[in-house]
Amino acid sequence: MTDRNATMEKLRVLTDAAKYDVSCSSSGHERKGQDGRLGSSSRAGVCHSWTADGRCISLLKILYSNRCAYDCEYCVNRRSNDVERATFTPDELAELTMEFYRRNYIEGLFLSSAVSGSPDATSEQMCKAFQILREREGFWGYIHAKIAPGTSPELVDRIGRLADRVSVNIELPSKEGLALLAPAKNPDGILKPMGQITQTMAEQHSLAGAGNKYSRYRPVQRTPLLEDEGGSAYRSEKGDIVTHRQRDAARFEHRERFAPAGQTTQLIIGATADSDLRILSLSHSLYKRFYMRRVFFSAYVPVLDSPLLPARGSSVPLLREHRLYQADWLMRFYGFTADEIVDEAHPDLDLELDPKVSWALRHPEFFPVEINEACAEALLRVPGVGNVSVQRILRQRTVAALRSDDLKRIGVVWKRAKYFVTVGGKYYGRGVRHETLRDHLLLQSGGVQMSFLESGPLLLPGQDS
Amino acid sequence: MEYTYDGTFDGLLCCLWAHVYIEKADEILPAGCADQMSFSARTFIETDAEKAERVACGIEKKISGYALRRAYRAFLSGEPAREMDILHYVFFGFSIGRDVDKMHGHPICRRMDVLNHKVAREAERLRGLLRFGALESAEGRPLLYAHITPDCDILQILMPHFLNRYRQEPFVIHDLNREKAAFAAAGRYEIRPLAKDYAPGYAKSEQAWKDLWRAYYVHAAIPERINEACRNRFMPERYWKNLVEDPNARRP
Repeated sequence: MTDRNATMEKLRVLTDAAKYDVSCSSSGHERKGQDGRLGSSSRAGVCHSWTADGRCISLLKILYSNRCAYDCEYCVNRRSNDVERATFTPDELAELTMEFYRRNYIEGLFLSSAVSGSPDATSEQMCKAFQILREREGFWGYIHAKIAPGTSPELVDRIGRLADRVSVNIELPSKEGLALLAPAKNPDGILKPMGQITQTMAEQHSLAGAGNKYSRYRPVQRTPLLEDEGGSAYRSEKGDIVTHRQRDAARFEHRERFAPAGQTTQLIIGATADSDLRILSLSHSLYKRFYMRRVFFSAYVPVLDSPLLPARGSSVPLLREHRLYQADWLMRFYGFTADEIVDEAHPDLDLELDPKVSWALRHPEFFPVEINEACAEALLRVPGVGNVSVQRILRQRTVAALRSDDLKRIGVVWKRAKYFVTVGGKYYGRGVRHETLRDHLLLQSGGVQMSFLESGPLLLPGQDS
Repeated sequence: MEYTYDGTFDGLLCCLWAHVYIEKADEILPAGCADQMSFSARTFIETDAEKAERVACGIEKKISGYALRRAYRAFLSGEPAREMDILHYVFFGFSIGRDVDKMHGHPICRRMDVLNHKVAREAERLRGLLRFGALESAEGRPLLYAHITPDCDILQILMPHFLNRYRQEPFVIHDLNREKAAFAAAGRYEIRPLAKDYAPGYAKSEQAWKDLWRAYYVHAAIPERINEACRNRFMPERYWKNLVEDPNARRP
């Protein structure tokens, strides 16, 4: 190791500078180990530790440098903020990653950077670190690369071919917010690399989209079947006729290349006055247009003095962030669309109840759902019934009808679900009228909600936070 | 009849065989487990690989391969009364066939799901929470060593993951609770007994990496969002003793 004290100092400064980024997942791509290389990657990802704030550590999340040319109002690393500054060298970073990885501390590297000099100069250095890792050290673990807005297409391409996942952060959910708080960044500089990443993945047939099979954000498989040729061949991009086998081989070969774990982004919550409607419809369009794997939300932590932002020390909108994640889950795994969850009449999520219960209360006409007959899509909309429960219900239905006791054992949250289902024609939620159901459910979830409130910093459902 | 066996899965399968061909089992206990008062006669069942094989094949054929895996995983959970749970499950499976895989709501199957979940969850946690240290070695290549204290017997469940991760590095994973260790090199491994007082000799440079990791752990937390209850749900305290980082540490 070069100079331990210097490395320690840089590690401290650049970890502190990177910690507000939320994404730390090492998931989305399965890669077997290879002889002569170190590491592998698993589709589900691996969490290696959890910090005192309850967030998981999966990757070594760190900045290459926090010497920034920009002066974005919301950012701790802005030029005018008086903090310690440090910059790694590509070699130091590679050694740190390799040694941490070997000891099973981490699943890989999540490298981001302040814009020191220009976006391209910064990306060039990051690229060098990735190259050392992949080519010289034989690192076969996970790499997540953050791309600075305004990076040139050539560099985006080079980084994408070394990393598993790439992301360009949007941060502020509206143009006005961006102009006000980050005047050095323009929307074009953010959207262009995003579009390029999506385009490259589309060309290599590796766009996967977000969520599971119930999600509405999975790309439609374009497989024009040529029936007159016996249905066994496809027309390739160039118009050539290729067989199944050739097509699959071509896809497989490509899939290993550019950002196999896809693209993500992040939005800051609570730094601007944007409503949940605005945030969720933006994430909806990001999923639809760019086939993002994930859109992350980051509750703004007021650590800076600025007349344009919530005062330093004011509460962090953790509960709102939590509700937005729940809404995001509904969109990715439960087949909901953004406009079902929030609309012009209800532009913000209900902070007291989770969005699935809120939706159910607004749509009494949809319920009750008969457990032994309803389709998967309908079952998924029942509060207290999750993806695993639905799969189990569907499987058991093929051999035996379900009774209410079975549901409890399967893992359904019965005290919530019983108001929204019938089991073999019988309704178990008698005694609570629809008008009072909301209060009833609120009272019930009191325990859960309180523990969430008590354990975190003070949370107030204030509009301004 | 109360049966005792040698504590291996094969031994348990032989008890299932005895349940059918000798006498119904009321209780199955590992030998040497003397804490329970007992009024009925106890019979020790010798482990016979051939009988065990017959029972295993029977489960695969009459129920499914999944059922055999499920029974085995439940066995690894180390729960005290799991032997009879497995017996009930296997014979329920014999009576209704492979449909038993789909009966998620049935109490007997539910019990299997619970035990399987316990094993799978601990294996998943330890894939992340296990920490290697480099030992002093005469050869150029360092030897990686990790010690764990799992509730379930998950050593062999962990191995495919780590063999895949370390294709070149030789490594040892030591289960202190069961006093055995998996020795792996070049894509193969072997499980052998290893006393729990084994004291590894770490390489000189090891401390520096540990210090760097501890510093990283502390600085990665956002002070304004501290939520230890949430952290402890993901990382229960019983796993802390084998970690490098100290979850109680605060920023200086």
